[in-house]
Amino acid sequence: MTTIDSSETKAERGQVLLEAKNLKKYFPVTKGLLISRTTGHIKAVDDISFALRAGETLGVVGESGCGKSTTAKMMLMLEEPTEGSILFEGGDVHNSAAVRKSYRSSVQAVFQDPWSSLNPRMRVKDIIAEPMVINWNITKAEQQERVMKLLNDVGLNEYHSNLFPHEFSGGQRQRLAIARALALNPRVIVLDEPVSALDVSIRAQIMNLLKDLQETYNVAYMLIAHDLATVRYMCTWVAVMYLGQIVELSPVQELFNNPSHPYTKALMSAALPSHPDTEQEEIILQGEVPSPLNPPPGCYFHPRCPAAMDRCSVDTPVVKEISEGHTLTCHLF
Amino acid sequence: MAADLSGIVVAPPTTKERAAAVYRKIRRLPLIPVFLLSLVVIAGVFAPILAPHDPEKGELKERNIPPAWSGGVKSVKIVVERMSINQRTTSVTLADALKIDPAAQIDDEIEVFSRPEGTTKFLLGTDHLGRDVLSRVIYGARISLLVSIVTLAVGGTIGVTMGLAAGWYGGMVDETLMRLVDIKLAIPLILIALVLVITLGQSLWIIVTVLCLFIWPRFARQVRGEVLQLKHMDYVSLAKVSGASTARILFIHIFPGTINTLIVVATLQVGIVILLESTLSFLGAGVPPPTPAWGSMVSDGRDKLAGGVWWISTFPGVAIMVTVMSLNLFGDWLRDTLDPRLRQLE
Amino acid sequence: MVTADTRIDTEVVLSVDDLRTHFTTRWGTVKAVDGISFDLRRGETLGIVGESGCGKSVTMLSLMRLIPIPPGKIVSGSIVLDGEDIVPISEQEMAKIRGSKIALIIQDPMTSLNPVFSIGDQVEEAIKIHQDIPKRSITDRALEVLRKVNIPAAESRVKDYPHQMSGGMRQRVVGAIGISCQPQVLIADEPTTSLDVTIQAQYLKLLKDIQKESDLSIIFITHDFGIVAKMCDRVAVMYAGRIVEHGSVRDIFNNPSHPYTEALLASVPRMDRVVDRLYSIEGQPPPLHDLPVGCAFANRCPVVMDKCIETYPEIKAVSDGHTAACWKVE
Ligand SMILES: Nc1ncnc2c1ncn2[C@@H]1O[C@H](COP(=O)(O)OP(=O)(O)OP(=O)(O)O)[C@@H](O)[C@H]1O
Ligand SMILES: Nc1ncnc2c1ncn2[C@@H]1O[C@H](COP(=O)(O)OP(=O)(O)O)[C@@H](O)[C@H]1O
Ligand code: SF4
Ligand code: SF4
Ligand SMILES: [Mg+2]
Ligand SMILES: [Mg+2]
Repeated sequence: MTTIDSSETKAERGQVLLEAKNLKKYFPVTKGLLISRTTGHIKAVDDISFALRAGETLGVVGESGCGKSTTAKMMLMLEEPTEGSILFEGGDVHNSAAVRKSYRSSVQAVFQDPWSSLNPRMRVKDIIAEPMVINWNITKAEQQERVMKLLNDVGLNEYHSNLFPHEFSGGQRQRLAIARALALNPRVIVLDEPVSALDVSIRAQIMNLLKDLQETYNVAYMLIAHDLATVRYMCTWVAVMYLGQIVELSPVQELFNNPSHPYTKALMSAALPSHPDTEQEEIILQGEVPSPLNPPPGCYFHPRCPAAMDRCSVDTPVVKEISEGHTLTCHLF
Repeated sequence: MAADLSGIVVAPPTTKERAAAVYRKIRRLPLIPVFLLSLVVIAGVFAPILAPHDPEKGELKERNIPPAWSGGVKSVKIVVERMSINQRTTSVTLADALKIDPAAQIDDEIEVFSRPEGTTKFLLGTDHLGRDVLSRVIYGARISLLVSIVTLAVGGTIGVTMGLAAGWYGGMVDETLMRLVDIKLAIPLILIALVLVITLGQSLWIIVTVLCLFIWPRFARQVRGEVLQLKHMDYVSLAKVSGASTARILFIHIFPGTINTLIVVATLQVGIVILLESTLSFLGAGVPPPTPAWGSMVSDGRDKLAGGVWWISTFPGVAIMVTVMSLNLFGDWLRDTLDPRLRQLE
Repeated sequence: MVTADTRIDTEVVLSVDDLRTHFTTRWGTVKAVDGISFDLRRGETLGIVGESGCGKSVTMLSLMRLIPIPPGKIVSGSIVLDGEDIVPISEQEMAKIRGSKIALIIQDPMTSLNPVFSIGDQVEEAIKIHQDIPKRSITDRALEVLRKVNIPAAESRVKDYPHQMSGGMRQRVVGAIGISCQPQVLIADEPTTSLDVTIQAQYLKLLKDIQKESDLSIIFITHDFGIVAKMCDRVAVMYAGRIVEHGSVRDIFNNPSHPYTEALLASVPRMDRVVDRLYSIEGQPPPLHDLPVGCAFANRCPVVMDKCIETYPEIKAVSDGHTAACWKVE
């Protein structure tokens, strides 16, 4: 694709753009200095599948270390999956160079830390133009024209294009990161905690901006978050992760009205209330997340699960669909 | 447009604030080292214009003239026909006496300049071959400059390339390159230089090669360290996501991030290069004569020090010391200024 | 939950009156805290909320008398703790009060513990400074507080070093040090920002339990209204170095009277219902070294009036125990 025109990339809202199938990422743990041998594997992501749809947002929630960022990195081809495949428009990105090339320019990212996402030595206009320089065969003038349009899209203006990143506040930097992610008319944007590092009063600005842009360009988002309220506001689908696995995947309304997995329930009850009079079920999980180096047998959640049964520590639960699009991994269902 | 236009006021720093920032920088600038270094650079660049005499030719009869401000040493001697061996030099032969005074006769007492008076023709005096010390010190700056620039360019490039490769690829590449660095630190390069000179003869290129071998590991180490940090920055990942090639990432995103460090390392290394070049020249393994290098000049004047002829060694020695010290002071300042962690303390 | 109303008669342990803490910088005088007043009663939790840089941490540092001097200085006001004004007292006297009467848990659990001492040593050290008791009882007391903050198998973990513990555990050890000398007031400056939600829930519950048990008064500094809703009895909303609204937690949530409070509440997404569009606060707070003469929120306020720009609004009562500094309040 070497054009600015994005009409051909418009897809129906809800159309599946990208599918992750049985993705796994195991990081080897090695010992020894000269002759190193592998003593085990960190199962950062352990067999997960999901789909991203045009104009919709998949939220991924879970505690730190549960594999959210590793999943994002695999989706961005920054990490090679140990197993599993990513299908883009029906083609496997790891098998076909042609699919990979179009994938590269169709999937972009915004990361958490607005201070590390922008090269401090480049001017804003060069930062935003870089994806075009690499992927598109267009003139410098066309590039700059598009940079101005993108700056406008994210609520900045032409005056900002000649500045360096350190001249901006955190929220403005995140706007710049978003402008850059939009440069190639991507069809999917992976957002790894895009508002966590921002001040409360700025978060709403960025969340509203992301929603507006999705409306305009019909992109699919994969939004990684640890705050359920953010997910409720932003997402169409939610995947709850625990120790490298998706334990519950559901449309957002359904999840909040009818949280089913014991871990999802615990997360909901641990989330901070929005009002002092909110009645919350008190489920305080005991202990901490076990190490992904040697997860417990059976259901990974059983040592902390308030509903654990005998078979939970022996049998590994499988994914079940309990209603349209709502899947669970638990013996209770 | 879709976006809401809130929170977008970036106030650019006012002229007054900018001026204040510049002033703060200058105030901390080590003025004396910078001044001295500029002198050295100017001397090196404009040597042919600045030097009053040819640095490589001199009149023997004008040898060992002291600096302009020192007077001569006069003594009265008796003219004799012939000097016996081992006789104290309170006398001169008739032949020599006739050169000074055509009317001299045996048994006359004549005034002899055992050391001539300094003249403004040779501000810093002349050496044992009658060459102007000032001109030689000025040309010496040129040699030091030349050697430093060539060494930095070649050695620095090698070091930076190695450092980039080691830091970026890691693993075996890193292991191999860093072992090479360790090996270099264990080799006595001065000995090797001496051996090379004995077998191949003196030449500028041997020194430059040896000096390059000497400095690349420092560049490699520093750059590697920087790369190890920079390669985890999110903007590097984002460049990969946009499909940037490794070459593009290395040269657009990583290398510019190491430049501050490189400037500091280079400044400090120039001092070391100049010192080493002088050492090699002093040992006779340096720039071949009659090219004026500070090290060999110190060496030339060494055996004359005992006879009170101090100026041949001292001036180039001072030049070496002043240059190296200024470079170190300036390098320290640069490091403090360019290091963002220290900068925050301001 | 105990509300402010039922606490009205209990004893005031900490009373801050017109506190001003300024910093002298090269840009001018930064008025980080500029005239704040509040009372803290026994057993009560006061939340201080506001966006980054509004002076929350400087308030906390002033209460602990930990302001770096220079550039900082408490320029006026009084902090009456347990009947004594701690602003004029000497550093030596303050050192005795710190930890024993007023203690602190700060933002970053990694920097508040010394990596080279075991956690047992660090808790014992805190006890030793303030209590003149024999070594044996110090060790016992240290174990007791570590158990109190739910460190599992405390006997065997006292020899652990901070890096051997998870973030949640470390934060509990910091908590243990905070309560080790039974202070009357505990200041918690965003103690849970680095923790995961489930670990945060554990920690908040622990704080509440400890508070109930020893009738501790807590000042909870945060930018998260969720924490306020869960933990606090009363709330002070800070903006640009001043308290702009102050009231019981229900006053603030049900009847926010300052436009800034309203805007903040409307800008956070909610767990309990679908929000169509979040309110987004425009612009940025004014720099603290160059505050406007009028209301500091005027440049962002949706209902700004002419007099807002001309004169600073005095603090007015909205209802009993609920105040706001805004011209809109009559
Ligand atoms: N040592 C200091 N010297 C100069 N100014 C300071 C100093 N410490 C704090 N300030 C200023 O005081 C103001 C208030 O800072 P403070 O740390 O209290 O903010 P905060 O409300 O705790 O923010 P956050 O939510 O980010 O923790 C800021 O403008 C800050 O720059
Ligand atoms: N490059 C790596 N090498 C080894 N382990 C890793 C690596 N990256 C991530 N991990 C581990 O994988 C697990 C998941 O990490 P991550 O995806 O970053 O979690 P999060 O959900 O917080 O984003 C963690 O236990 C982490 O320590
Ligand atoms: S499978 Fe068992 S242990 Fe796992 S979540 Fe379900 S009930 Fe709990
Ligand atoms: S005083 Fe005026 S500007 Fe300030 S908050 Fe109230 S209405 Fe808004
Ligand atoms: Mg992460
Ligand atoms: Mg703070």
